[in-house]
Amino acid sequence: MRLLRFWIALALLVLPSIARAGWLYGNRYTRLAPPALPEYAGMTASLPLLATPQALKPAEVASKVVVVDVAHKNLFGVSELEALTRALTDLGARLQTVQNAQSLGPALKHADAYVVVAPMTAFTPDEMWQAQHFVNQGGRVLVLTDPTRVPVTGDGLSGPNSLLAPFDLAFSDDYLYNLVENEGNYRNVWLKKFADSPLTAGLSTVAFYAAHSVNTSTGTPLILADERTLSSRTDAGGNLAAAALSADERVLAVGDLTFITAPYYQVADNSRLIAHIAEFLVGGERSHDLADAPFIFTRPVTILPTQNITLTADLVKSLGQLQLALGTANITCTLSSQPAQDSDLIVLGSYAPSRDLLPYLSPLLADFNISLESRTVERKSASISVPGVGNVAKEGTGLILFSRTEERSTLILLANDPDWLSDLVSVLASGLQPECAVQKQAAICNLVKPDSNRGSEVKLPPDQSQPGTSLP
Amino acid sequence: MADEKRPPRRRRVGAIFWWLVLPLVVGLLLSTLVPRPIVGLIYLDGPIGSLTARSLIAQITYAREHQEIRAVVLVVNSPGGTAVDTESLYMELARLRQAKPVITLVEGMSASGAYYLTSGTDYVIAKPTSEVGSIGVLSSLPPQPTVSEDLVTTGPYKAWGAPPDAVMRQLETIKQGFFQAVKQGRGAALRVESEVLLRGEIWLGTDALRMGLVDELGSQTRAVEKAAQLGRIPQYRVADVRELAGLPFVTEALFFIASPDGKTTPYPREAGLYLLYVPPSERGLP
Repeated sequence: MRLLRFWIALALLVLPSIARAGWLYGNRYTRLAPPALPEYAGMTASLPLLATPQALKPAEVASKVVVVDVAHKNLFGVSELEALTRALTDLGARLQTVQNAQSLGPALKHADAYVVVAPMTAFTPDEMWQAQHFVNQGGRVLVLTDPTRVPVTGDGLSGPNSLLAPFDLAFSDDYLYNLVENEGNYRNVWLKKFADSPLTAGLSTVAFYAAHSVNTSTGTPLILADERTLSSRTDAGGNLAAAALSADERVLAVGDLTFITAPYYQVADNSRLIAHIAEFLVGGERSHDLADAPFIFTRPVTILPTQNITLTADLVKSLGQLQLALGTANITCTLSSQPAQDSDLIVLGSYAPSRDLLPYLSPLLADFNISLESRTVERKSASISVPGVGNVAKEGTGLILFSRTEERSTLILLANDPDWLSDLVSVLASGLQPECAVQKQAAICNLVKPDSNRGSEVKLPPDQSQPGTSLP
Repeated sequence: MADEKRPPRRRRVGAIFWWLVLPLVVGLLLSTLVPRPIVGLIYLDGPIGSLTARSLIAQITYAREHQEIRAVVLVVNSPGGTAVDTESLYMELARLRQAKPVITLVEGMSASGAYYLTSGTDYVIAKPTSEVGSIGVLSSLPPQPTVSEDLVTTGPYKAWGAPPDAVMRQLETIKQGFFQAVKQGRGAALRVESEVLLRGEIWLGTDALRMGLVDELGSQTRAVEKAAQLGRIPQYRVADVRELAGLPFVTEALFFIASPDGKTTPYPREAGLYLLYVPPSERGLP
């Protein structure tokens, strides 16, 4: 009996603790399945398909000049364009860089194509005019930008967009991305929609590595993103173009630079696109007018002094300058008393034309609808009469006349004497402007230098009725 | 003899007292000594680096090995950190979850790597203005390899680690792991398309609730209650696991370069892979 009591007492002593422990700890937490972890071992990085670079048909004539702009604080190295420059040289093009804004105009005068990559400074109105003139003359322009090439401060697109504005092309301040289907990263987009153009012939897929979208209302959106490729600016997609061509098909704007650089030019059809871009750049038919002087020739040039021109030391020096200038465009020029075959011509003469100048002047006079009879030489006259312009003082001025026939291009330089002619040749060598008022086939140049006394006495004749030398 | 002299009624009452009441009262008193289960709090405060990871792994291990800790609340206020330390913590948390429920309370922020951990817990409670998300990976690219006269290596990437392009692709692999962790962790609760999720955006707690990135908006008390509920413990006490484990308090240094104006740049101080969010207000251009 006592033993029973003992066990009951012990149970009563212990049971509350057991019960409480059971209550507190009895409901054991059980997980039905272990927490799922990602399959790390099966994860791999996607690698792009590499394509063989496009083989280009070698050029028959190595004569095209492609000017690459490095004058606008461009955020790139020329070596990054290796794939494009290789394609261009395969096509026989010669590359030149423009190091400063002052040399852009002269460079464009003899260029066939102009390449601008990620410029960080805006183009001046003068540069924009030069680019427009270049395009109007048949030159090709390629503008590349890249959202990863941005300045520390300021707007990275004012540069390219200022150049593109006259051609109704503009880069958006965005980048394209695709979170679903991409080339290794959301900002590396596959592009599979192409407008019908020689630039996109045979392309099935290209990869761009962070690209601005390009807007145009009159031009052709050339390379288009699919619906799932979005613009970072709106997080919306649909008809976003990564490259576009101007309405005249002479200006190409591409929103990415990286696709040209190694190793990405090998991905998908990128090398084929680069080859097409190279063909586009050398495919224009560039024409030249007097505003492009002295780069209006495409062949070797013969310099022909007429009988009443004495080759003074100054004139020879100026001719050397002209020779040097034409040399930058790979045009040789030789001094000769007779025009050479298969060459263009620069004729040096005076306002009082010698007999041997007349054969060169005659076609121009016909162009200007002036009879030879009106070509009266009045040696004592202080002015000459230029049709459509009026009277021009002989002293301190020079006249340049330009004609192009199937046979040759001819440039006639006229001044009052060899000294003024020497200055006129110098002006021609330095590109006419701003010293000259240039028209389509004629330019009238001021030859009076501000720091020179020579010519300061020159005055235009007050009396218009005074007869003068009449020239086109 | 004395008992025999007592009246039988008194003897019976005495026996009941000594053999029943007294043991029961003592037993009841003794039962209060049975310790209440613990809802352990583990704080993730600040960036995730090697120091915080080491401290948190020690706390997680302690919680896993001590039976009195029946549930854990991970209190998060972190922008994330290095990828490898985040993954270490994620895997340790997964082991802990096999034994005990773990729920997350998002205080100020659970971004990037911190959300990687958050998504791998059983239940997520956030504040309405908590910042949640930033799912993605961040890294600076190594430079293109070059050679020099002074340094000789046995391979082109010995000095540089990897080509820039390879690092970019590695990021995608890590992102896949992150994304899978979120998808598996949140499961059917997730009500947002992957395209939206992978934008790397950061959302307010209210938006995160609508998208299924968190389960509830609430306080720390609610988080502790929820942990106790999941741990099926009727009574509990709340304790800081770091204090229980006797671990020192550690803080992680900033990962990012401070610009001359004192602002943090989004560029890592050291090369590496980061699951990290750098708040825009602290950003400046390098």
